[in-house]
Amino acid sequence: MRQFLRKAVDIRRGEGKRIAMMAGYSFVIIASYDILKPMTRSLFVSNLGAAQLPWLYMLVALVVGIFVLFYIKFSSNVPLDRLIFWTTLFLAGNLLFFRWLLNSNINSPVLYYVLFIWASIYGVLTTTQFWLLANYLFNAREAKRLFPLLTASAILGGIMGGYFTRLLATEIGTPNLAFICIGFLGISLLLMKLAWRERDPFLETGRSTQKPAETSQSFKKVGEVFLAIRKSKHIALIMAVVGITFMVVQITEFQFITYASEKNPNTDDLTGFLGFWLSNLSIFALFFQVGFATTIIRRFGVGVTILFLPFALLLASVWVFSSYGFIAILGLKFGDRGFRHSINRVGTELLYLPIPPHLKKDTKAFIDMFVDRFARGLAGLILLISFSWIGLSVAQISLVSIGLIIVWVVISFATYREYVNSFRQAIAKRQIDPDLLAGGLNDEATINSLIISLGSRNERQIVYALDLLETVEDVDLIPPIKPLLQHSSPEVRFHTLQLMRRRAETSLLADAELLLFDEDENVQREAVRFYAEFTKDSITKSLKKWLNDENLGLRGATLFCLAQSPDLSKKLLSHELIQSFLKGGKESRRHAAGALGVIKDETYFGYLLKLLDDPETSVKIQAIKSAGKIRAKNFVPILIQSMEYRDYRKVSGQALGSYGVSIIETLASTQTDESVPIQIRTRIPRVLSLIGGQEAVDVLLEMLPQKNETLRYQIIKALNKLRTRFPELKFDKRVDQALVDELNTYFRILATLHLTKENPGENDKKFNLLERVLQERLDDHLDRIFRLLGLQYPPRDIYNAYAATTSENRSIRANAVEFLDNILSNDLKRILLPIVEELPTEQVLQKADGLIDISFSDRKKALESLIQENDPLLSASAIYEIGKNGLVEEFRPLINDALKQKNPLVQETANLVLKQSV
Amino acid sequence: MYTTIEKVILLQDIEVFKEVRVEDLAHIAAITEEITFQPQANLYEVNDSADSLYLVLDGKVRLHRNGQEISISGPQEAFGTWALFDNQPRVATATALEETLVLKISREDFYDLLSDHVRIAEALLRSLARSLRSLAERF
Repeated sequence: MRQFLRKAVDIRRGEGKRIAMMAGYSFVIIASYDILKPMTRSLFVSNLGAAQLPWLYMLVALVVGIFVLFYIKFSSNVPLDRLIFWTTLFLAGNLLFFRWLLNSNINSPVLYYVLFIWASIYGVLTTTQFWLLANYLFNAREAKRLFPLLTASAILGGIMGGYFTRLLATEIGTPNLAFICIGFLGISLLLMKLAWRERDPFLETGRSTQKPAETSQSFKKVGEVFLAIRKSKHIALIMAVVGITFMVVQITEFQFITYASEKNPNTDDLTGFLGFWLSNLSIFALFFQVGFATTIIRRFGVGVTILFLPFALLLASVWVFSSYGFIAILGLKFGDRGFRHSINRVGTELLYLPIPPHLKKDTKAFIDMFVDRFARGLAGLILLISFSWIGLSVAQISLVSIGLIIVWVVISFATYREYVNSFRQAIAKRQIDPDLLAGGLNDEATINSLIISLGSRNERQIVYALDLLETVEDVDLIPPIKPLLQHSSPEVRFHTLQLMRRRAETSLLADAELLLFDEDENVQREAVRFYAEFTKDSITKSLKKWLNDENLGLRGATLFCLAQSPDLSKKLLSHELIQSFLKGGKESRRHAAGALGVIKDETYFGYLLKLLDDPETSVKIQAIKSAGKIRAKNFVPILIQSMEYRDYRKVSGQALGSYGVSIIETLASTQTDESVPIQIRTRIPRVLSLIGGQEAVDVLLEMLPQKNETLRYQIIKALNKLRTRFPELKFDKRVDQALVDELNTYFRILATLHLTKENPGENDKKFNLLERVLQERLDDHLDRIFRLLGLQYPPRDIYNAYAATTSENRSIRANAVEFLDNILSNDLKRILLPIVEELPTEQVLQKADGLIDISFSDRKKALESLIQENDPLLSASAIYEIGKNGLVEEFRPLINDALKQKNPLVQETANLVLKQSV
Repeated sequence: MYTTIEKVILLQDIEVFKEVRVEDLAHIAAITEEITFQPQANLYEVNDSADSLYLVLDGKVRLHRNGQEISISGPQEAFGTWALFDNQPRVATATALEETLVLKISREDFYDLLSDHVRIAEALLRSLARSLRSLAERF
């Protein structure tokens, strides 16, 4: 059975528990929702009548839309498990409360409105949180294989929920169904906790906050989505298709419920009727999805797929209009329920494929959250006008549907044409992310485009097409991919082998064998892996032979391959084998270092520790990469030390970044330790920016009051990166303080520069070098001021404003000032605007006087202050200019003090000036 | 021996370093080497590999090819600038006309410096872009 299941749904080692818990979870939450849906609908219609439904649809659209906005805002920083736990408890509590209200004979219409709207929120919350958790627990490739299983179990849950409703509504009464929902919610909590335990501990960093935040970010970008819609005909058409789909669906839902309420005046009967038929239709949806959907998509492509639902609804609407009755109405619901959640959903998802990933995320979120609700609300308005005001009958309302469906079909044709164009362009621009092709590619025209791309002269194009073809099923790819095994590009050969392995193309085993001796290391590794997975001969014997082969590359690839496979490791991996590689030359040691990166057994960590000290750069770099994969604590000190050296700086930073939040404290203490070389300390903010998350931000903010300007700059830069990557992160008051400090220093330097330039009666004195250094310092501070502003205001806007303020074009500068005037707070505006406006320095300083502390008023004091400055270059420049202008006697005591300074630049300059004065 | 700050003053006048910040000029100053050449000594010859930039501190250097004089560089003048950017052979011979003190920046040290101070590379690119733009505007 297990083997059959594995084969059918491709569950791999280590995924079993997770997928079982999540499938159970999806089953119970959808079951509970499909109990609630008929329950709330029947209570509403039985007590208030179907005529109230249009008002309700508009209210639901409005309230749920607003709720979603607030929910996203408040939930984005709560860890996902806690969010689900408390939401579920809250919903269960609500259910108990509603059950009590329903039993208290409160027959207020408000109760039924609230109950219906609440049930809609329940549906949004439970399903959104389920998919958030699923996205957290499964990576993109796992999702591609396993999410259809979760969808199937959700449909099964829907069926079960419907039948429960049918069976129990008349037995225990509609209000008591709330207890069944509470029971399902309790089971869902248990399953969620069990699934949560199965998460990969290495993926802990920030992921719980990232996913909801992505959605939250989407709403901050509503403007950008509108811009994208205006620019992209394809996106605009998708929006129109989705919008019109929901309008028609809402109208058919109204017709179905109204008919059902006419035939079932008793609440419990109506609940049972709705539950029973919704379940039956779900069975059809499941049957159709499993049996026909893939074949239809494969055979007829996206164009026909997206027309299934409108045509089915068109036929059913004509039927309802011409002979209104049970069968016709059922046919209408049959079209909606049967096709919308199966073939139409897949078709619509495929329409998003050619949209660039960053735009797709925002557009999809916008359409799912707002277009859906707006369209349903609009449908409510149409029903209000046609049913309640004009007085059309339920059957006549079909005319409205028919009109809308005709528009829908026309738009669908246009959308498909645009889809094909966009897809061709997206392949050429490599805009489709293969990891996001969760539904797989099935459209024939699309597959043909990809196969044609395999003959491209551009190797990146070929690699890209190979990655996309991985999702294609039931197509013989051997003829187009076989010649690629001899392609001149190692990258193409590697990706071809990878595709062959993932598709289990065993007939190409002999061709793969030739690549065992390929000149490229990655190709050799992939060839060994392919051979090891699919050969029918004794693989142990082959691997043993290859481990002693004279080709070092093959020996290394074999070691890597067996280290990677738990089964082969058990048989062949040994300390003696690793030691034999370590005894070899640098290439041999490099291979060992690579393989040690995939061995999670702690007894082998010592070898990697040794290789992290290897005198050969290539070996050490490989060892650092492997340490980043293993992420053992004892590698951390040596990785930090490695950042001192240029050759290892970048790779060590990346390796440390992969450790995540667990090393933040170590990094913080290293950064503040002044005995640590500055080369290391300046790299740490960058590592923190790679780690990400609120913890990294907090540590960086803590480091911000930093005297060393280079370090401060690196800290601010790291914060900027985090702000751009994770806009949901919080940057507290410490940024304001840093901003005030920067502005203070800016005005102090500006005053000094002004005093050195403007010397009435001493015009012969020139301070060229000092002025240049001061000007450069001003530029640095202005850069940091804007970077800090970028932590509080939208970074892109602030960057554009900064670039504009430094522009040579006057009108661009004026626009930047105008922009800043509009967005900055009043306090900040008063201080900052004079700097970016083209005001004379005296006026700038006058405006700052009182706001900022500028403590000196004449040139002598300014120069004295510069000599004592904690900035060696400024200090040395001031001393040099004093010497050049013959002012040594005036400042002799301070210059003598400078001789004792530790900094050689200051000491050397003071010495020079004193000698020259003699 | 010149101090760092004096070297900075000299380096800031070299065309290619015009956009480099003073702080970074101090870093460049740190990799310079002061060398004295006797009269008639060749600093380099035609077809030698070009590996350094020179700045005359004191004395004179004659640049010539096939017996023909190309130019004479005096104090605070630099020559062999492009040696920092490509490794094409020298197109002229540089000969000291009198006892000459020069500041030498070797390409290898300069590239090491660039990898640690990306701002210098940015400034060089700015400087090159400015030259190209002015060239384009001229034609």
